[in-house]
Amino acid sequence: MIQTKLFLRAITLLILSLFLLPLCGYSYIDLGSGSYIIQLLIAGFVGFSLSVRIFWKKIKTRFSKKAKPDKTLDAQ
Amino acid sequence: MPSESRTLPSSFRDPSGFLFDREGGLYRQVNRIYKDHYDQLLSSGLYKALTERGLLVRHDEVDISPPDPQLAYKVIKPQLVSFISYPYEWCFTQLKEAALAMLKIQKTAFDFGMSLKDASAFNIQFVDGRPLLVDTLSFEKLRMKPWVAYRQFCQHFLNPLLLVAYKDFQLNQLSRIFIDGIPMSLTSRLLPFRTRLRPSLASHVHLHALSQKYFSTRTVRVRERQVRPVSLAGLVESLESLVRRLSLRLKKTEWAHYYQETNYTPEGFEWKKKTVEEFLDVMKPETVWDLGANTGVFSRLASRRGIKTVAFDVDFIAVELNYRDCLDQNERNLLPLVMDLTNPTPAIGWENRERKSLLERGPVDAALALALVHHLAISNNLPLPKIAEFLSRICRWLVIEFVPKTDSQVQRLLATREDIFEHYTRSDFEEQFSRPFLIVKVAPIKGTERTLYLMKNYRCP
Repeated sequence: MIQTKLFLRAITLLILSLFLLPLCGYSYIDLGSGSYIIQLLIAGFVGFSLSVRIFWKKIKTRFSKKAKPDKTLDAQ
Repeated sequence: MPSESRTLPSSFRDPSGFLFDREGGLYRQVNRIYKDHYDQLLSSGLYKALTERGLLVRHDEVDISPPDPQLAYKVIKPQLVSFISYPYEWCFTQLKEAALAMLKIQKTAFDFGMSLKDASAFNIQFVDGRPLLVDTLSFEKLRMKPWVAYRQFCQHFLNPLLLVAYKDFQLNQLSRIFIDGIPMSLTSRLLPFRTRLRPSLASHVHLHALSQKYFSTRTVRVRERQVRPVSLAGLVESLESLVRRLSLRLKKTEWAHYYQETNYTPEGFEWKKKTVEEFLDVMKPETVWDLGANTGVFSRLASRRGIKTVAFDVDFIAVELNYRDCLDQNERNLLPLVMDLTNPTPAIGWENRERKSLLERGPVDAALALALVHHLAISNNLPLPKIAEFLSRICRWLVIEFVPKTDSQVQRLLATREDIFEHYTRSDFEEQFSRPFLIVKVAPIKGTERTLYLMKNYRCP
């Protein structure tokens, strides 16, 4: 449920950002420009989620690694 | 260009190279413009990784004169595909497997510093029962830019899959009309409202269509944006997870349960199988097309002997069930495809030559037309001479079953229509088929009024 809410918020942000993108650059764009822009938005969002997941996994791994030697010491 | 080389009519869009045939062999010229990308494909280990996983077609570099020496860097000889099929002939699971293969290739390419520049469904072929990328020149060096083939992937794979999964399996035929994939706007309009509430669908389809519409009417300029590798990986993962979750709920269709509703006795059915096998022994074909194959019971008599067999049926669900069986049993020689024989796949695309018609992909060594002729003649009002003519254009050998009017299945077909088929008799059938074919064997099927024929085409040696 919380996940769905988060996603819905993200979509609202996507829609807003769709119309607020800075439209400056070097070349004229063709009909595929809409696909290009939505891809940037999706890639940005999922890339951020993926980064968070990877970061979180690293933290978990670090703590679980630290916990193991403690257990060994206790056992000794 | 040397006169003996012929460029394939489907190979002209990509400046990286083109396919040509020479003296019956198929080759691909790699152009100098593509040199760096081609070298990286091989030197990075990507080619090795993909070919070992059965995802990319194998090739050998050959020392023959290129058709266009001014442009040429190398000439390669790709592994041959026994039968070229098209996305509008695939069932749901075939398209899904092809989409997942394309995404797997893209993920692997990232690991080797490359990316797909094309994600056309026409670049995928089914070889040994599995999807295979047959365009060696689809890769480019990875730049920190958006995936150039994202829109093509959505139009060629995602949209038809969604329309079949959420709306109706008959919508797979839209791929035939829209050769560059089903437009985002059309898909967005056709999909049910509930798909707007699913975040992945809302973004990849509905917002995508909205974005296209918004920017198509404006002359705008965008910055050359950099995309982090993690974002590109996230995009592909998001598509993969979306495609993986799609499923097709099977409805009962006219043909999918055909074998439970036939009028054969178990002995008659076994006898028919045995007779078809005997005919296969006589014909010794390398390739077989089973026309009206249903879920492929008779196709497997050929494919299990190592014969490359294509099982055509008009019923999408029957083809779906057949392909699922192929996957379960890891069958390498059977390719089920959707085909309406009364309106077979036409040649489409540029100059009507880009994608081949069914007839252009023949003739096949042997065709099986079992329990088919009465549907063509009576349900579709096709005169026997027309049926004989069509079959003589697609095969060298023919195994065909004649089902007389007195058969209970034909009686069912005639129950709701006037019997205007005075020439639908066994003697008329034999007379018409004797023109293009030599009738080699005649075998009445035990316990029925049906007859099996083995015929040899006069035109094809």
